[in-house]
Amino acid sequence: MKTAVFLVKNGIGYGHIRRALLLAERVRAAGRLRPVVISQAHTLDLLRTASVPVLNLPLVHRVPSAVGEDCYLEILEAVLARLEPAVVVEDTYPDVRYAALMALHGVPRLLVLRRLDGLSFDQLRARGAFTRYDRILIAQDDQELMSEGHSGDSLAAIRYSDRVLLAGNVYYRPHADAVDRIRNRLRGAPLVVVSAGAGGDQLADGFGDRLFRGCHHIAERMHAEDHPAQFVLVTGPYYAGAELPETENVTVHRFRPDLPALLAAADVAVIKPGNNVLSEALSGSANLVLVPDASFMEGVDGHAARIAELHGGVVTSTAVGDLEAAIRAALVEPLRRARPARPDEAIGRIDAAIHSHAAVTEPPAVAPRTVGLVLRLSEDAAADGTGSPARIAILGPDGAVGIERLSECAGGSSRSAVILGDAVPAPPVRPQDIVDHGGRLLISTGPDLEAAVRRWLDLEPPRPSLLWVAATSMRLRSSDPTSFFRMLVGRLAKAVSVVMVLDLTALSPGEVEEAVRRIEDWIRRQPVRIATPNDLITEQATALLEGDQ
Amino acid sequence: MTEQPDRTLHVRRADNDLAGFADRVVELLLSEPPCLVDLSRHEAGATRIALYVTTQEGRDDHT
Repeated sequence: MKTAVFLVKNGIGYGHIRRALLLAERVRAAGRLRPVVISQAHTLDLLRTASVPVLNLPLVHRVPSAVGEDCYLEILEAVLARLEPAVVVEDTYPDVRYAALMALHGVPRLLVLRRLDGLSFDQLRARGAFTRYDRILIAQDDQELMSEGHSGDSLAAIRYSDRVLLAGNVYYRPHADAVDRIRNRLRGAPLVVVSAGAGGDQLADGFGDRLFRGCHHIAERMHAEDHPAQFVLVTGPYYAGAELPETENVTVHRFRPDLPALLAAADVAVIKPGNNVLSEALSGSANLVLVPDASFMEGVDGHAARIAELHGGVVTSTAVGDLEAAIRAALVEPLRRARPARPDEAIGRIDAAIHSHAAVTEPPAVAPRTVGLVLRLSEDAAADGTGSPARIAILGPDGAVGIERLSECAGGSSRSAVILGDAVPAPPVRPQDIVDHGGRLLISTGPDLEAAVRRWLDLEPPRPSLLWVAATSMRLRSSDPTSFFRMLVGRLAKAVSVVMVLDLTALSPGEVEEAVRRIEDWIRRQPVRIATPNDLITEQATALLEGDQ
Repeated sequence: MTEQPDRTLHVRRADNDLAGFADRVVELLLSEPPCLVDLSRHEAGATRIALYVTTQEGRDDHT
């Protein structure tokens, strides 16, 4: 049986390990691949609950000597060489040490990416961190993605590149029995669960100490008032704050394997809203008290505000007065009814991608060079098959298809995904209108966008961005396209993908037909493929994903 | 690679003998039922790497 290797690192929370275990367990259940999770984590708590094999290393970038780091990497190389994985799945942060492992070179590599804030996604993308992945499986749906505040370029890369799949959120959803058992033990007492994931004080900013000590005080005061609420504080293994004594209404745990069930059973969840704990809390009915702290690439403050708006709840600080007011208010609110999507379909989509990439046995083939060919036609020669003139057309596998000129796009009238960007001056329509009506790609008529078009885009940048591609323009004066062939061959000697804008306006309809026929015949005999509009869009979006623009 | 009285497997880079250690790790990873192989509890200087194995029964064997 082939092996699927999952590579993760435990940073602040449990999310990376949780996702890797959920996915590895699904892969194991399918019975066609043998999953092995390779982790770098200081805490073993969650790993001990795994039903799949796990190899845990220390956080290699934090071992105290370069010799030690080398030693661990050599062991990892040797282990991976023996496992001979058919596919590798990483989680969220493209890791330079995992990237450099020789044993994994040439192995299909997938990245499961939990939500990132907009700036972090831009930074990773711009420095080419996504380049080495065959597929990027984002653990979000489109609606969540759009609320993140991503840049237009990031959205275009995510929406249009065929390397990216919006899989949906991956989180652990506890069994109803486990939730019921917890609720039954409470005998009707309201339950307040406090969790900061694994994080606690790992960031050394005292957050865990303030949060848990504050909640402990609040519980003490409520107990003195004979309030029936029971508090469960799950500090996380990295908690390094003051000791928290258990009292009649407070229990304290460093780790609870059933934390998801506990959160689902809670009336109030007081959490640092990292993706994992937040998703687990949202799967239940608890009213949310969200207490953001520093995070790594998650933008927890902004996310907390969006979650509170979408699902209810309150965003507060660790100040005891604020926390107490929020907890007391949450205890008298009706329980939350809205639930996010279940994770089953998202896990299934990622599982399918893992199996699909592992199943490839045929040697890969070198892709032929591609040419995108835009034809400018005179009024006489133009016809798009519907009887209406198309003065600009793009050649496709099934003949020429009419496209629009940017200069002729009126508000909302754009119907083409690909548009010839030859407008001087820029058109009386906002770039966002073009994008909202399906516009995806501008083809410039030269090596750069015309200054007026560039300014038009820069003044009101759309989301997602309107992609653009440079083209080479030339004019044919007879039906003999030999000069075009020479120019195209010259361009293709330097680039694997070329876009040409061919002006045929000097030709009669018969000459246009003859020229196009000869061009199509010639291309069929070359190691070249005609690029469809979708090919051009995908190519430019992938270039953005890889940070090429 | 040498086995010490405390059952720690000592791997020294100078021995150029990581192969046996890696073989043992892979053997454990491929065994049933699945287990957790932990190499994270290294000592300062990391010239000794201890190998712990946690099975589903909860044992924590230090080899």
